[in-house]
This record gives sequence, C-alpha cells and structure tokens, in this order.
Amino acid sequence: MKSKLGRWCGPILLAFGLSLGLTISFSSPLADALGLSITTSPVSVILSATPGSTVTTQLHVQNNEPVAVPMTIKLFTFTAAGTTGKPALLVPTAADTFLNWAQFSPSSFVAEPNTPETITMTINVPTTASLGYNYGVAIEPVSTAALNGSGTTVNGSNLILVLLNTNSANEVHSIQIASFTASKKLYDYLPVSFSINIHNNGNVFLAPTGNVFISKNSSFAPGSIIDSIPVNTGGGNVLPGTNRIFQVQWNDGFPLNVPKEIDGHQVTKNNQLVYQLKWNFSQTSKFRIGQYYAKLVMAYSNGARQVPITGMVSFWVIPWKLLFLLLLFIVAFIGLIVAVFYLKHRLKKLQKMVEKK
Amino acid sequence: MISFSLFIVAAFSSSSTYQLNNYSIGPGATNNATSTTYSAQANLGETAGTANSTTYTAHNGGVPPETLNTPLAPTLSNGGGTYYNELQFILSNSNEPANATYDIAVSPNAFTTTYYVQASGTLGGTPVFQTYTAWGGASGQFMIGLSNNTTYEAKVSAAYGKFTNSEWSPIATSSTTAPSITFSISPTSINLGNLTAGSVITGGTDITASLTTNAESGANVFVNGEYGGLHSTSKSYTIAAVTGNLAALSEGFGLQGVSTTESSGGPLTLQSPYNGSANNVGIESSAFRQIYTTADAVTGGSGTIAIQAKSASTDPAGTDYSELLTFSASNEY
Repeated sequence: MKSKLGRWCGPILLAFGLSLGLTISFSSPLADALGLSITTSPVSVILSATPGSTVTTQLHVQNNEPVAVPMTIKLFTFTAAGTTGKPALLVPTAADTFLNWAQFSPSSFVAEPNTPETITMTINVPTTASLGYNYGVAIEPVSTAALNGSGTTVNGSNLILVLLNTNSANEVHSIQIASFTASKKLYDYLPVSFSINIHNNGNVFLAPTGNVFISKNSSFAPGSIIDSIPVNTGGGNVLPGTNRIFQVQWNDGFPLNVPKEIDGHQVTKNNQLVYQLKWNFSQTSKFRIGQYYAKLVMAYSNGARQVPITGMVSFWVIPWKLLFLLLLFIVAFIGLIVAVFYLKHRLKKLQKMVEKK
Repeated sequence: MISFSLFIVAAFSSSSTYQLNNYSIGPGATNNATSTTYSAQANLGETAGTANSTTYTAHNGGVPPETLNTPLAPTLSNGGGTYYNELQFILSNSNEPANATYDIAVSPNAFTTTYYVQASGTLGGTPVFQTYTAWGGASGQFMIGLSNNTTYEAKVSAAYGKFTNSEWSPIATSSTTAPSITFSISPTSINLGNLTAGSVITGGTDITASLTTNAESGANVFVNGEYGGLHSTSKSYTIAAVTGNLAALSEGFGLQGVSTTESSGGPLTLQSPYNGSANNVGIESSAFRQIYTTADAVTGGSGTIAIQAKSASTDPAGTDYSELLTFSASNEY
C-alpha cells in the first residue's frame, strides 16, 4: 500500500510536469504551419485492480509530423453518450477525485518525429475505491500557435478511454436483453439487420459477447443452423445503468444488397449508406426464401462464471420482385403457348374454310 | 518367391473409444468397410518383408493409409498491419480433390494451445471441415475474435471421402496489430482579420481534420473551446458561440462542416448542428460536442470545417478576439 505522501506525489508531479510542459519555451513554427498529427494506441483499455493495489498500462504515442512537438496529457472522465458506445466526455469537476489516482510517466515530453513514445499510466487504487471508474486520457500537443489579431488557434487531441474495475465486494454483475429485433419483418434480399439492445442493470461495466444463430427451425435442432453471426467481437462495454445497442447483419445470401461504392468510396444519402444489389453467381446455393429464426446467445462474466442471456426473433425473406418477374415470365410464356395454339387452331379453321370454298 | 497368407490389417478397427465388432474381408487383396460415420480399410499382404520392383514397393502387409496430399500453407494477412482482432486467411486447394474439405488449426503459442476456425470465423475447440468455397474460396475468410498485438500460426488439413485426413500443411504466420487512431489537424491558427460590425466574417482558411483508425467500432471527433466564443481579454467581452444563422443574428460565432471524404471504410459523417450551409453554424463551448463520427474503421477520413463570426456595433472594439478550439478524436469504450 502506498503512503499518503506517495498517493499525493503523483498528481503533484503530474501538475508539475504539465506546468513544465506549458512553460517550456518551445516554438515549432513549422509544426504550426504543417498542423498536428498524432497516432495513439491502444484506443481503449480495460484495467482491473483491487482496492489498495496499483495497476499500470502502457499507452503509445507517435508524432507523425517531421518536426518535434511538445506534448502533454490531460485527464477527463466520460459516461455513455446514447447507445452506441460513444463516450460523452466530461470536463472534470472537484468531485472526480479518482482522476488524482492516475499518474503518467512521462507526464510531458517532446515527441520526436516518427518516433514511438511509450507512456506508462499508473493508477494507485485507494482502499476506499469501489466499482468502476472511467478515464479519458487526452494526449495532445502543447499549443504554440500565435494569432495576428482576432481569430482562433486550433489544437488536436487523441483520447484513450481507460475503464478501471476495482473488483470490490459490492459489485453487481448483471445485464439483460432490453430488446432483440430485426429491422424489418419482411426482406426481399439479405442482409438482415439485427439490433441487440443490452441493458446493464448492475453497477460495473460489462462486455457481453456471443452469436446470433440463424435457422429455419424455431427449435434450432442440431444441424438446422444455417449461419452464426458473432456479436461484439470488439469487446465493447456496457456501462452500468445504461443501454448499448450492438448492430449485426446476416449477409450470407444470394443476391445480396451491398453498400454502393463509387471510385472506392461508399455512397451516402442523408448520412445513410446507399445499397445496391450484387449478383454473385458462385453463391447461388445461398438463395434465401421463407421464414427464418434468429436466436441470440450472449454471455457475460459475473465474476465467477459466464452467464448466458438469450433472445429470439423471426423474419421472412421473400424476394418478391424476383418472384413477380418469374411469375410474369411464366404468364407470358403460357400466354405465348396459348396464342400459338389459338393461332394454329384459327389457321386450321381458315384452311378448312378455304378448302370448302 | 513371395508367399501370401491371409493377413488382415484393419487401419483403425479398434481404439480406446471405438471398436469395430463385425468386419470381414473378401477374397481379394483389399476391402473397405464403411458406415455413415467411419470407414475401415484392410488388405491382403505378405506377412513379412518387403517386395520391390522397379516401380512399386509393397511393405509387409500393413495398409499404408490413403492420405490426401498435404495442403499448401494457408495465406494469412493482417491487412497491411491494420487488423487488430482478426486475420484474413485464404486456403489453397491446388493439391486436393475438388470436393475436399478443410479444417484450419490456429494457435497463438506455437500450438501449445490449438484452436480451430469455426464456420462463423470465431475460434473454437473442435475442428470444422468445410469446402474451399465455404471457406471463402480465393477471397478467403476472416478468423475473428483474436487478441491484439499477437502472432498467430495457422495450418490446414484436408479430408475427402474415405481418405485419411491429410498431414497438416506447413504453418503460416501473421500478427495482429494494436488498435490505433491517427488524428491530424491543420492549420493550427486561423486569422479572422477585422470583425466588421454587422458582417459575417469567414476565416480565409478552413480547418482540416483527418482521421484514420482500424478500430471496427469506428471513432468520433469532438470539438470544445476555451471561452465558448471569441473572447477579448483586453475588453473582457465574449462574442458568444451560437447555433443558428449568423446572417439573421446580431452577433455570434460558430463552426460549419463543409465536406467529408475518406479513402476507404467509414464513411465519416458530419453531425448536427455543424451540418448547416450558408451562414448556419454550430455552437462550441467548454463541453465536448461531437462534430464527426464513423461507425466503422476508416482510412484517410477527412473533414473540413469553416469558422464564421459576426460582431455587433455595440461590441467593444478590440483586436484580440480569439478562441482556442480543441478537436479531440476518440474511439468507443
């Protein structure tokens, strides 16, 4: 366990480092002219540490500009913005004392061009900690841009999202499926879009993963499963008290609606992807028609074991345009045959009439 | 002279798990016993020794298993160093019969632990045999749910009819990378010049924000400002940032997304209220507001943003009206 002094040293050193970074007279006019470009990795981190322990993780930064840039680290917190896993970044308040548990080494530095830099983030979790904490670690250049008169200076920042689970005794691990739906009841062609709305009714973040199984048999008897679609392969988390919607598509079919591309760029209309039908004749065995069932099986860890959650939805795939064309063709074909027979019959009649005359 | 006697060698007539209770061999040299699940094969051969000719070699009565050709190593790809939780694999079917099926064994630790690619692409504990076409043919398929920054080895075996499965192919190796985000912004300053009262002033240059990420859940770009508008320290006055039409407002400051593009992936989309036109701008403040988003990995994503300002004749005159805008890129949690 760290002493009180040790616990306070971090924030003090961080503050010192930040102020040092801000007060260094480091001007990089070339960088100002070129702009700023930073690569950071990873994009999010899950940490687990018990109260009274210390946990570390490494964050990687690279300055992609051809000149050195002084960098600094700022801390924010975040919660869920909506249901897509997007963070709602929050400016820290005095109540966010958990931000003081984090230290960075180095806390400020000069990023040399195209040279990877590793920052060690250490979180000293106090014994009073409980449940989970969300850190938004902003790695950004120290702004040195100058204005000549009125205007704006512009800075860029890469944020790494860090979630800390303190594994405290009062944790409740529980999630439920708020809804599992297909975007339509009837599709003419695949893909079929599924929306999986997960609600975290516990008090610590969780990352459920699983599959959507597709079958024509509602009992999902052995051997009847046509396809399985992984859900949340990225390990996205659901924050406590919030919902997160995972979207997956069943697209193993023929023909298939695919995003329209022009010159390699996906076409959008009103911020929505535009689709076009793709006929891949090597996939004709995947022609889909009839009623299908989708069974969702996901699991999350309750700390001791994996807990499954399930849901089911049914939908129809009827390629009605294709069937209509086929019907039209059949009707036209039958009509043609009838017409031929009719004409033949009339011709015979005429021939007989001519012969009689 | 080679003497023959009835010598039965059943390839796998019994094991600790299975026993073939009823098995016979006809008066020929070889025979096959099959069920829907298993097949066994035997032959008549010499009891000992090896018979040779210039063309053939007959071993001492054992049945050399009729194994398939060993497949070529699969091709593994990490998408030029962009895949962090998946790898693309493409099988080679050139060595095998047309309807042969294949399974793919994968390991992150030199096959101390072996996983098998499942039909869905996830890794599981049991082998899944599928045809070359079902594994994606020449386009291949992705094995998914992998750990980042990890080297994976993969090998393939083939099966066909009554043939014994082939030997494992040579091993192919590829590494997942780490999920990353590259965010660029330029220029780092925009001068607005004189803020003539009653006129909407646009910065001579637009801000370009560029974004590349391999994270499959996409990324977001947020904007926040230090003062929530153009602030004059000398006059202690702020022309507040607004959402609205500056042409119709007496004063204000805001941002307007001009365009978005990407090389691949994405798409990068502009978010309200920054998607206006003419003099319709979106507000900024110390709070983080989302200006761009992409729901998927994107390469070469780029958005341009215009700055517009309007002062009123009642505003105190000053030459130091300024704002520090910070554009932040993050992925999802």
